[in-house]
This record gives sequence, C-alpha cells and structure tokens, in this order.
Amino acid sequence: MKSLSKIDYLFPKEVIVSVTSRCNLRCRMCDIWKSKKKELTTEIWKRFIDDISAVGVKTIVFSGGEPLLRQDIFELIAYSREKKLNVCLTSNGTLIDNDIADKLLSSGIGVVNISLEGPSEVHNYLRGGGSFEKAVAALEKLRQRGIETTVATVVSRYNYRYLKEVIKFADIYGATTVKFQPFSNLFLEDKTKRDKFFLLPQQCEYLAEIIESVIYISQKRGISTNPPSYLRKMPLYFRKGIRFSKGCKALFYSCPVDSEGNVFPCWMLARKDMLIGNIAQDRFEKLWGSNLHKEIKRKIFSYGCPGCMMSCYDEIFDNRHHNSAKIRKLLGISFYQRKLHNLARMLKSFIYFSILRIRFYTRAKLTFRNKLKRVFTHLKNRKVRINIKIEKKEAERLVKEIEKAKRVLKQYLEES
Amino acid sequence: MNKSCLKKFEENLAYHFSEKLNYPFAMPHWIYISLSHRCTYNCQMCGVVKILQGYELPFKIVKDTFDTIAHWRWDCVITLTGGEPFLREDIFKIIEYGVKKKLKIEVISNGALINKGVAEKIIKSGLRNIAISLDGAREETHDHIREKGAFKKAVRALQYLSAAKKQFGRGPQISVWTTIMKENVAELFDIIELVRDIGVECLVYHPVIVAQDDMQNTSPDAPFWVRGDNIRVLKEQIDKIVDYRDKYGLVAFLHDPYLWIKYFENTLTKDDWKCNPFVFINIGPDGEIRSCGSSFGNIKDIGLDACLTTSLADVARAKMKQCTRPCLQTCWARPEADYLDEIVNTFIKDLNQELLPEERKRIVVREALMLLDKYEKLIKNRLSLS
Ligand SMILES: C[S@@+](CC[C@H](N)C(=O)[O-])C[C@H]1O[C@@H](n2cnc3c(N)ncnc32)[C@H](O)[C@@H]1O
Ligand SMILES: C[S@@+](CC[C@H](N)C(=O)[O-])C[C@H]1O[C@@H](n2cnc3c(N)ncnc32)[C@H](O)[C@@H]1O
Ligand code: SF4
Ligand code: SF4
Ligand code: SF4
Ligand code: SF4
Repeated sequence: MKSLSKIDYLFPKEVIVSVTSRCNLRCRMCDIWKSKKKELTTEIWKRFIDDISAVGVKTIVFSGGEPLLRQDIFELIAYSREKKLNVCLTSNGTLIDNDIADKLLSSGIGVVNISLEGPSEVHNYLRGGGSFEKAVAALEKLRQRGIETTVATVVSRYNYRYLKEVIKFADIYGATTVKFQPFSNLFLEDKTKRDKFFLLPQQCEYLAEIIESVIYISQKRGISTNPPSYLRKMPLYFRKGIRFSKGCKALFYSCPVDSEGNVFPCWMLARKDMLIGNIAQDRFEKLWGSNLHKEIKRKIFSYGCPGCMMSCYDEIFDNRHHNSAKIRKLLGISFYQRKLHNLARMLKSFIYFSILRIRFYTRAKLTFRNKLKRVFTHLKNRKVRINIKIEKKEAERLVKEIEKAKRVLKQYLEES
Repeated sequence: MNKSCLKKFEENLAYHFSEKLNYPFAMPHWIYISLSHRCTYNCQMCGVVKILQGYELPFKIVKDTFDTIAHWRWDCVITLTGGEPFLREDIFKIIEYGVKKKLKIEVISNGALINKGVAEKIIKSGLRNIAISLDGAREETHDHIREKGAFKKAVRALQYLSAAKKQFGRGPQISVWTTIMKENVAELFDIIELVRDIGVECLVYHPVIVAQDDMQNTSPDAPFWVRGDNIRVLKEQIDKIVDYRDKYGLVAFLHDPYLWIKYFENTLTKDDWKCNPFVFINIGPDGEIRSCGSSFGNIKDIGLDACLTTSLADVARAKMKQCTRPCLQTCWARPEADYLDEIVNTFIKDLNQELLPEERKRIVVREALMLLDKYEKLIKNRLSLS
C-alpha cells in the first residue's frame, strides 16, 4: 500500500472517453447502444481536453458507441493533437470510406483501432452482415494513407478457434497490433447472455493450445499482441471467472469517462456508487485526487474489486499474474490427473503445516506425555480458526460464568 | 411455543457470545433492506428521502442476498422498506423470490400505492407481515407530518388489505406502525380505536429518532421531540394503552413502554436498554451495510457474508457497545440474551413446559451442555495462547 500511496496524487497517463453511446451496428455481444445516454457538447469535451493536457495526460482514446457517428469527432481529434496528446480512436470501421479516412488523416490521428472478430462468416454473424468487408476495407484505406491501425478482438465461444486467422488478417491488412479481450459482461444489459459467450470447460483446454500458437505466429509475423502472461490467463478466466481481487494499477494510470461525462475509477467499476464526478460540472483536476476519489480508491483497496481482464489494462498482467507454465501444465492434464494433483497439493501443505505446528507444540518443556496430549488436542481443535479478541480478565470471568451455567444444567440432570 | 427450547438456547448463546467475544457466531435476526430511496412523500421526520438519492438495489443483488440469507438457516426476519417499497416495479418479484426461499419477509409501506388490486396481491404473496405507517388518529395530524391526503390513503389501504384478507381467508398479519413524536402524543391511544375498527391485527409504537447517520446523537432540542408538558401527556397515554393491552391485546410492546418516558427525558441508560450489535443490520439502497449509522462494507463489492466480518464491522460494533444513549429501536436489542444465567434459566423453564419424555429431556440438556462446552473451549484456547 505504501508504494501505491506514493503515486496516488499523480494524474493518469491515459484517458479513455466514450463520446457517444449511439451506434450504427447491433453487435451480439454489446448493448451499449441500448443505454441511450445523453451526450456532451463539443465545448465541454474541448474544455476537458484542455484540462487533461494541462495535468500531463499523454494519451486520449475516443471510443463509444461508434465515435464516428459524432459530427465533431474530427474537430475533437484535431484539438487533442493541438494540445500534444496522442490520439487513438476505436471504431467498428463500417463508416470509414475514402472521405472519412481523408478527414481522419488531416485531423492528425495517431492510431485507429478496428474491431475484427475473425473470418468473414464469424464477424458478420456477430456484428451484422457486410460489416467484415467494410472493416477490412477500412483497414486497407487507413494503411494507404499511412495511419497506424490496430485490431481488437473479443474472444468468445464463437471465435476462439479463429484467433490465428485474426493475426493473419492483421498482417495482410497492415495492422501493427492485435489486442485480444476475453468476453465480459461489461457492455451487456442482459447479463445472462454471458453463458452463450463463455467457453465450455473442454474448449478452454483447446483455447490454451490456440493461444500458444497465437503467441508463436504473432512473434514470427511481427505483430504485437497482449503480453503472453495475459493471454495464457484467458483459459483460466473462462473456466473460473476472475477471483475477487484488490484493485490494480489501472486505477492510477487510466481514467474512464462515459458519454455523459461521468468519471469512474475503472470501466469495470462504472457504477453509481463509484462515481467520482462529472466533467460537465467540475474541472478534471478537481475530480481526480479529490477526497471522494481517494475514498473510493480506499474502498476498492479494502473491500476489493470485481477483478477483470480488460485488455486496455493488460500491462499489469505482466507482473501480477500467476506462474503461467503451471497453469498450462494444469490445463493440459486430464480431469482425474488434475484432481490427483490437487489432492497431492493439499496433502503436502497439510503435512507441512502439521509438522510446523507439532514442532511448535513439542518444543515447550513438557513431559513426553503432555506433549502428545497437546498435539492431539490441537489436532482435534484445528478446525476452529476463529479469531476472537478479548482481554484476559474478561475471558476468565466468562469461563467462570460458563462453568456456573454448566453446573446448573448438570444439577438439573442429577435431579431428574 | 413454536421454537424448540434448545434452538432458542442455541441462538441466545450465539448472540450472547457474539457480543462478548466480538465475533459473529450469530447471524443478524432483523435484516432491513431499503430497496430504494424513492418515495411518494417527503415526510418531515424522515431522513431516507433526503439522503442517498438515486440509489436503488438491483434485483440481482437482492436475489443474491436472499440466497445468502437462506443459506444461513438462521431464524431471521427480512423487512423490506425504503423509501416506498411499492414504487418498485419488481417488488412482487422480490417478495416471491424470498418466499420461495422460505424466508420470513415483511414490508413497511406508507400505503399510498396500495389500491384494491395491489392489496389482493399482497395478501396472496406469502408475506408474513405488512405494516402501514400511521402517525396520527386524526387526519390533520397525519397529513401535517406527511402530505395532504396521506391519511385517507393509509386508512384506505388498511381497509383494502383487511377486506382482501377476509375474502381470501388467510394472509399476512396486517399491522400499523406509529412513530411517537410531539405532534401526535395526545392521539396515541385514539389510534388503537381507529385501527381496531378497520381490522388491524397488530399495532406497534416506536419513538422518533432525530439523528440520521448516528443514532446516538439524539438531541433534546430537536424537532418532534416530546418534552415539557407533553411528557405528562405521554405518561397518561401509556397508562391507557397498557390498560387496553392487558384487556384486549392488539398492541405489541417490544419493550417496556415506560422506557419511552426515560428516552424522551434523556435519562435512558445502558442499564435500562442495551443494544446488541449482532442482532440487526440495515442494507441501504447503495448496497452499504450499516448498523447504527456505521458501515460494515458494501454487499455489491464483497457480498453479505464477507461484510459481517470486515474490520469496519468490528469498529462499528465496538462503537455500538460504547453507546451511552440507547435509541430504543427495539429490533436492535435482544435482552433475553444479555446474561448467561438468564439464558440458562429460561432454557430450563421452557424445557419443563415442553411435553417430552424424561429421557428425551436429559438428551436435550446434554446437548445444551455441549454447546456451552464449545464456547468454553474457544475461550480457554484463547487464554492458553496469550
Ligand atoms: C464497445 S466498442 C466501441 C467502439 C466501436 N464501436 C467498436 O465496436 O469497436 C469497444 C470495444 O469493446 C469490445 N466489446 C464489445 N462488446 C464486448 C464484450 N461483451 N466484452 C468485451 N469486449 C467487448 C468491442 O469489440 C470493441 O473492440
Ligand atoms: C422510513 S419508513 C419507510 C417505509 C414507508 N415509506 C413508510 O413510511 O412506512 C419506515 C418507518 O420509519 C418511520 N420513521 C420515519 N422517520 C422516522 C424517524 N425520524 N424516527 C423514527 N421512525 C421514523 C416511518 O414512520 C415508518 O413507519
Ligand atoms: S461493439 Fe462497437 S460496433 Fe458493436 S454495438 Fe457495441 S459499440 Fe457498436
Ligand atoms: S476491476 Fe479490473 S481494472 Fe478495475 S480495479 Fe479491479 S482489476 Fe483493476
Ligand atoms: S413515506 Fe416513509 S419513506 Fe417516505 S418520507 Fe415518509 S416515512 Fe419516509
Ligand atoms: S441503542 Fe444501539 S442502535 Fe441505538 S444508538 Fe445505541 S448503539 Fe446505536
């Protein structure tokens, strides 16, 4: 916690804004367009861009909805460039024709990120007919104009077999990076859809293999992807979900803003009770690092957060996540082997701790008999791991009371 | 007696030692869930509408919470309140789910939205108790505190409910909740007659609390506070109510009503009434669990079970233990679990009344002894460590 409080006062490096919740597509894994949120005016966004560049934010990412549905998006991009920010735009690519590509070029955009879910059939099934062709055409057009492009892919049951293909497409159409993002409930209103998208357990093992080849191919073709440790975590994510975790660095270096201007600690925690404030009402430097913000972070660090596998935060996985070789080993073996493995591990730790405890108990200067007795009482009681805090005097008084109560009951037994 | 004496003994022991050892052996008995802070009214004495606006517990969270509570297998009562619970569209869905999980569910409402159809739905829903707030026997008093027309609506709601219950043949207990305050002290007794004629089955009084975030800040110069001459009026009213109760019932006292006088005179102390921090929790519409104003954690983040053992919960409970000005919100306390010898005495008394063969009784006592042993061992282990 100490090191965290040190960087606590810093402003984020990156701001991800959703400029609109409107969208021209109706993708199966996304309900953003249903939320029908209000939108902020150009002036407010400009003021916000002023503010973040003043406090030293390096990058702004425009997302949505479909950000290109906003008429003033080029103006905002150009304005951000004026303020020396790196600008990235996330789009489904269907609206990018020659005209828009030209406008993007002249606005000075740095990177355009196009969503690609796999081969044409898969992509069109998930995102609607014709969207694949338009997306790759967009990649093509942007490359012709020398704009850097990247690809984003939501990994789900529908497309996990085609991840290698995505890398190949990216290579063919000249994208530099592919970011894989496991399916999450975040953008869904109907959370039960999750079951349709999550991988079945038996598929997870297959996914682990695919991911190895994805890592291999991407290195061979010079396409960068998420850190290998992050990718290797994915099968486990689909199998077990994310365990309750205790916040992460994303809370410090990244800042999400939704289309109404609400600032949240991270996209996963974009909830009413985690609301830091609104940029339409307050200036950014007042919101970030405010007492409310600190309080919210404190809450996250003390109660924990839902945990996530957001690809935009994937750098943290490099140092945070488990030993990936071990995970792979576990995934590669059969069901019974795994059970056996777990059993062996439990037994090992049990024996280890028992020896430690027995050593602790037997070290005292007691006769052998008493030592044994202590060990046995310990083994008998070891289930009770309740941590009670009580003063000695009080405890003694309570024991006396209990003894008295027991006497009363025993008396009853004798009398009857 | 519907609960076996051993079960009761076990629970009382759990509450007793939870309090003594600061560890939740017992689960809360009273669980208030504020489903939403939206309300049809904005009553003068009520804080809920004025704070935490805009929050509403999602159905999913309520459902998970019900699941957790059902899993405890602990005798507890869930009271759905608000704001106005019937403003939620999914209120019957919530009730239905709770009833399916075999939980005891109660609802407190102001009655404004209870028309004939809703009343019938309530009666058939499987609720245990439906309480309507009535703050005066006269229309002017109630409407002055709440809003014009509120009295008529509340009375009408009660009428619908009792008619529906008569028609259906069974259903939840229909009760009335009255908050005692300066404005209505003189009418407390009259409320009895009013509601009796409608067919209400239970009437509960509770004194007003003025502080919102911390119950202990009760200040004697607050509005609504009964003081001066009104104390005498209150005394007379209590005499009449007690008299009525002894003869005809209807009124349910959750504690000695004469404590109200001490409460309003600010002479109530811990010796008169002691709050057990493990008996009650309140789940706010933001998901935050609170008891006596202090937070335990948020169920949205870590779930109900984990909230009960956070360090925040420890701090909150420690604060409640040091309470100097009890607030007389009856559900906070569990006087029968305050002293161990009393717990044992009640147990033996109950046991003697139970119609069991002698042999069986001896087994029950042995089991009770084992329960005591459990706690003794725990404390002794702790002693031997230190
Ligand atoms: C919500 S979109 C907004 C930008 C643009 N409309 C697009 O589709 O690229 C941002 C990214 O989130 C991804 N996404 C959509 N639904 C998702 C889900 N359920 N889980 C994870 N990522 C999702 C999209 O593929 C896209 O790369
Ligand atoms: C907050 S209301 C919520 C349910 C519903 N809206 C109603 O009015 O009955 C629950 C109960 O608390 C009572 N109440 C409101 N303000 C109070 C206060 N300051 N002190 C004590 N009780 C209060 C109300 O009279 C009502 O019986
Ligand atoms: S994923 Fe993107 S393109 Fe698809 S509906 Fe969501 S916002 Fe629109
Ligand atoms: S939800 Fe994800 S991004 Fe947010 S704090 Fe937790 S781990 Fe970090
Ligand atoms: S009706 Fe109930 S919740 Fe609404 S303001 Fe009145 S007392 Fe409060
Ligand atoms: S009696 Fe309990 S709830 Fe009431 S003020 Fe005291 S500690 Fe708080």
